[in-house]
Amino acid sequence: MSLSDEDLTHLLTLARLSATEADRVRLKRDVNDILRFVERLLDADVAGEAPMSHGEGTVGTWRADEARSGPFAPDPLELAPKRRDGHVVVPRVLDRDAT
Amino acid sequence: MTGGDSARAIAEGVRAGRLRAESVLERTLDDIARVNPSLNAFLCLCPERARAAAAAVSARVARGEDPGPLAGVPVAVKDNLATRGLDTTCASRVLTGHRPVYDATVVTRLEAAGALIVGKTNMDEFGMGSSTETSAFGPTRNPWDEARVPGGSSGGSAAAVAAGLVPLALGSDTGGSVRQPAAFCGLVGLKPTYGRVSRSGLVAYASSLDQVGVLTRDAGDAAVALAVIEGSDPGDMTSHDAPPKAPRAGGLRLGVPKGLLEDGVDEAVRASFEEALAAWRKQGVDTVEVPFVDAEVSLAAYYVVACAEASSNLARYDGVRYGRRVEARDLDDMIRRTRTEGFGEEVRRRILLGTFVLSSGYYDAYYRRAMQLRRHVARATDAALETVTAVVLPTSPAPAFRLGERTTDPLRMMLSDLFTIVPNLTSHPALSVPGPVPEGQLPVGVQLIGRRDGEAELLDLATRLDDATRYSACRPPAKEAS
Repeated sequence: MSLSDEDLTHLLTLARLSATEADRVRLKRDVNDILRFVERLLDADVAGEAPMSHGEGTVGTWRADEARSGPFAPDPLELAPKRRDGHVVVPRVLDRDAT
Repeated sequence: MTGGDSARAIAEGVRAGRLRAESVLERTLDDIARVNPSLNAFLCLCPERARAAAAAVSARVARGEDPGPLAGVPVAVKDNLATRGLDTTCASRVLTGHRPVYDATVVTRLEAAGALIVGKTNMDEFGMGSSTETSAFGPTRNPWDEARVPGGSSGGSAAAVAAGLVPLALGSDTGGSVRQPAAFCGLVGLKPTYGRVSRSGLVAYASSLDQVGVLTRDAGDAAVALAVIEGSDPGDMTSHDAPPKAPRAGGLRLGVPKGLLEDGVDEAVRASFEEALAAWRKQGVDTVEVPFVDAEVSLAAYYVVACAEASSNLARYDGVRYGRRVEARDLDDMIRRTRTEGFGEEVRRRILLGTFVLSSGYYDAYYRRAMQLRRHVARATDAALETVTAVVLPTSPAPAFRLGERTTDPLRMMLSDLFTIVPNLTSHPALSVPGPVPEGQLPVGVQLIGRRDGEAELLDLATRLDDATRYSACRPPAKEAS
C-alpha cells in the first residue's frame, strides 16, 4: 500500500487538516515510509485471535448513579476561546448566499 | 540538602521536624532558576501553590498530625496532567494558555500526601515522540550531556530528576515514554499495570495504552510514589483496586528473550545488559532464556493502535470549546486552520496515519489486524511470565542520541520504541532500571516486564541490582544542583 496524492487529500479532509505543497511532499514520503514498516503486520498469523481493543484484565469501576457538581465547576465555558451570554461563539455554519 | 536526597529522606526529615518544608522548597526553586535555562526541563513553575502546600505541611507537623508519606517532597509533573488554574499545554501550540478547571487525580493524591508540586515539565507534543524534540517550546537537554536528548516523551520530568532538581516526577507512558527517558537519564522509571493508576486528568493520546508513571533515582522512592497514586478512582472507569500481587514463593527468575540481542542493539547497551544479568545472578537471581514476541511486528501493531486512538482523541481540538483558535470566515475553515497551525508535524503525521488505518477499506487490514496481534502478544507475554518472575530486555536499543540526529527520520525515531511498546499493548507493568556502565559513559537502561499488578516484584529486582551496582548513587558529571 502506498498513499497517492488523492488519498492524501482525502485523509487531510477527514482529519480536518490542510497542508502546503511542501508539507504534502514530506507527509506523503513519511507516511509511506511508516506504512511500509507497518505492513509486516499483514504477514503475521493472527487467524482465530479475537481483537483486543482495550487493556487485558480491565474490570471496570462503576460509580454510584448520583448527580455531582464537579469536577467541571465553576464554569467550563470560561475555557472557550470566544463566548457571549453563556454561549460559545463560532463563525457562521451556513453560507448566507446559499439560504 | 534537596539536590540528590531521596524523597524518602526528605519526607522523613520533614516528618521528624529536622527539615522544614518551606526551606526544602526555596532551595528547590533556587536550583531550578539556576539550572533550568540550559536544560529547559520545566515549562512553567507554580511557586505560590507550592508555598501554600509547604505551609500546610508545616502546620500539620506543628499540630502533631501526620503530614503524609511525601511530606515536603518537591515533585515535578508532566505537562499533560491537568493542574487547576495552571497551564497544561501538552507542549502544544493548540493548548497554549489552557488552564484546566480541575486537578488530575494523581495530582490531588500527591498533594494530599504532602508533596509540593513545583511545576510542569516539557514533553514531546501530546506524548508523540521519543526525544522531547517535538515540543512546541523547544527541546529539553540531557543533564548527562547537554548535546543529547533526554529521551521522551517524558523528557522534562526525567531531566528534572537526573539534574537533582526534584527527587520525584510524574510522567506518562503510552509506548515507553517513562521508561526510555529514565534509561537515557540514568533513573528508575516505572509504568504501572494498566488501570493501577487513574488516568482522570491525563490528557488522552491513546487511551487503551496510556498510563501515568513515576521517575525517581531508586526503587524505594518509586514504591512510595506508586503507593500514593495507585487505586481505583470514580473518574476513571478503567482504574482498579486489585490488591498488589505479593512476590511468589521460591527463587527469583529472569527470562531473557531468545535471539533478542542478535542485531540492531548498540554495543554499550549489549555490554551493560550482560553485566546487569551477571550482577543479578550474584544476588541469587536465576536467568533463563524464554521465547518472546516478535518486537518489530509488535511495534507495527502498536503504531497502528496508537495512531488510530490518537486520531480520534485529538479530534476534540477544534478551537471551539478550549485551547487556541485561529479565526476564519466559516466554521470549517476555522477548525482546519486551528488544527493545522496548532499541531506540530509529528502530531499531524500520526493523526493522518490513524485516520488512514480507520478509514473505509483499510480498517480490517490494519486496525482490526493490529488488535488481533495485540491479543496474540498479550497471550505470549502471559505465557513467558508463567515460568519467570520478569522478562528482562534492554529499555532502548541505544543510549541517548544527539539533538537533531533523528528529527528528519520519523521511522528511525519510532524504532527507539522497539523494546518498550509490548507492556503498553498488553497492560503489564514494566520498569527501567540503570544498567552498569563504565565511568564517564552515558546511562543505559535495563527493562523488566512483570505480571499484572506485580509491581512489587519488579521493584524488588530493581533494589537487588542497586545493592550490587549502586546505580542510585550515580550522578551526571556537571550542572548537578549542589
